Amino acid sequence: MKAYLRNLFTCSSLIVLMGACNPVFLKGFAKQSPGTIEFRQIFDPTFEKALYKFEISSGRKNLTGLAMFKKIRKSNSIRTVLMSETSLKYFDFEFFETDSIIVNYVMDAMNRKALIHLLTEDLSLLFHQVEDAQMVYYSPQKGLKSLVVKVKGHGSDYYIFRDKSEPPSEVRHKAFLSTRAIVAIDYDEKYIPSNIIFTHRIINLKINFQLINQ
Amino acid sequence: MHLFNKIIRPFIFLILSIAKLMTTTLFAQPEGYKPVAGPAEIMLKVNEATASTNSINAHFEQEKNLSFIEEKIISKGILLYQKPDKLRLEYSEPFTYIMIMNGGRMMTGNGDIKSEYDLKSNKMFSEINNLIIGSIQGNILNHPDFGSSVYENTETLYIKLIPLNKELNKYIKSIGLYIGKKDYTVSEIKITEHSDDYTIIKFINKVINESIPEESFYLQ
Repeated sequence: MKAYLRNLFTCSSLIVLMGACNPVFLKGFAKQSPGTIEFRQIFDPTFEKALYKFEISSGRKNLTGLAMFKKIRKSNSIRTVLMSETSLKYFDFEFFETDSIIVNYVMDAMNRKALIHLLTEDLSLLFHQVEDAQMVYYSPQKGLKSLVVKVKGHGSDYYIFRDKSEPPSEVRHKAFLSTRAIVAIDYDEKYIPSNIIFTHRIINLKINFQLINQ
Repeated sequence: MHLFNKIIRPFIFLILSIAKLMTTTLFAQPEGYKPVAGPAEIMLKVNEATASTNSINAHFEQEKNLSFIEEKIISKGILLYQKPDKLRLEYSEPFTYIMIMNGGRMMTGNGDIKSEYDLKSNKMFSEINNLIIGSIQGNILNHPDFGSSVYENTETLYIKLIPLNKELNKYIKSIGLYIGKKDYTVSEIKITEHSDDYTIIKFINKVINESIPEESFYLQ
């Protein structure tokens, strides 16, 4: 019984310790008071619309098509429609500034709760409207150029900035103990995301958006 | 005034509602078209043209109309069709993508990524495959899974098809086929979804019955 209690205590302490630890990528960074940079959203507030080519791949299965991202000024939302190349609609989501999401349409063959949850959770990382009060800044100590902003209130999302004046180049969504998803973002000259790659750590899933035109 | 509010106003409202219902549902037809007087005769001409079409080589322009956006999403490419069930759609603008249907197989090429599916193993793919090929060739008109109504103007026939099949009805509200009266072949397809978003595919520079190399229906 004693051994059981000791093991239970050791395991729970380890879990608490690991959960509380900073992720590895924050090594060399120190917590800093906010207000030193202006947090630039992935999709700038002036963003209007963009057409992407997308690919969702999981093992040997893959789904490709076109994705239209459109800012709806009236409702302060971004409408995201994913469709086949032949233009048959797969998904129609709407992401609001308030972080709420509306699923406008899902093709019957794709209507799986887990898939919809995964897609909306991933895509919402791109459209979060981050408030100052939600942010914790991490500045580099030596030689490192990037800056990390931890956003509280959405679990743990880490936005990594290569340069203070640019929008984030990477987003890491942390689950209970480890990073669940990494989003790598490249921008064009107008700072519209030109290439967005979601890589999942826990499940074998990769989502790629490539800008076609605006 | 009291009598007007109590009896006449609801009566006028009822009449207007019925009139609106009649114009939007019962007599729904594209502007400039009227119902065909002898649809059987017209269908015979279309069926004759369909029977004599062995291959189609055409450029196409695809317009996607989403209700929440004013601009259309336009893509272009080349279509090759060989009777009875071989089809190649090759998109070149604003992206490159190849979709081939050959017998019971569907092949797609997206840059370096090539995929192949057995259409029989996927009911949705299979239904949509039959729908696309049937629409392009025109033989969808004889399909028992669709209810049809035929309209015309001086140059074109417009055939509206409503899927009666439960499976297809999940994806598509209606299909409109525009058929030129010169050759009675399909020149434009309009696919409307239940959200009223729709896609128009126009065929340009259509060449009928020209020989098409067999390798066109395989991914290189």
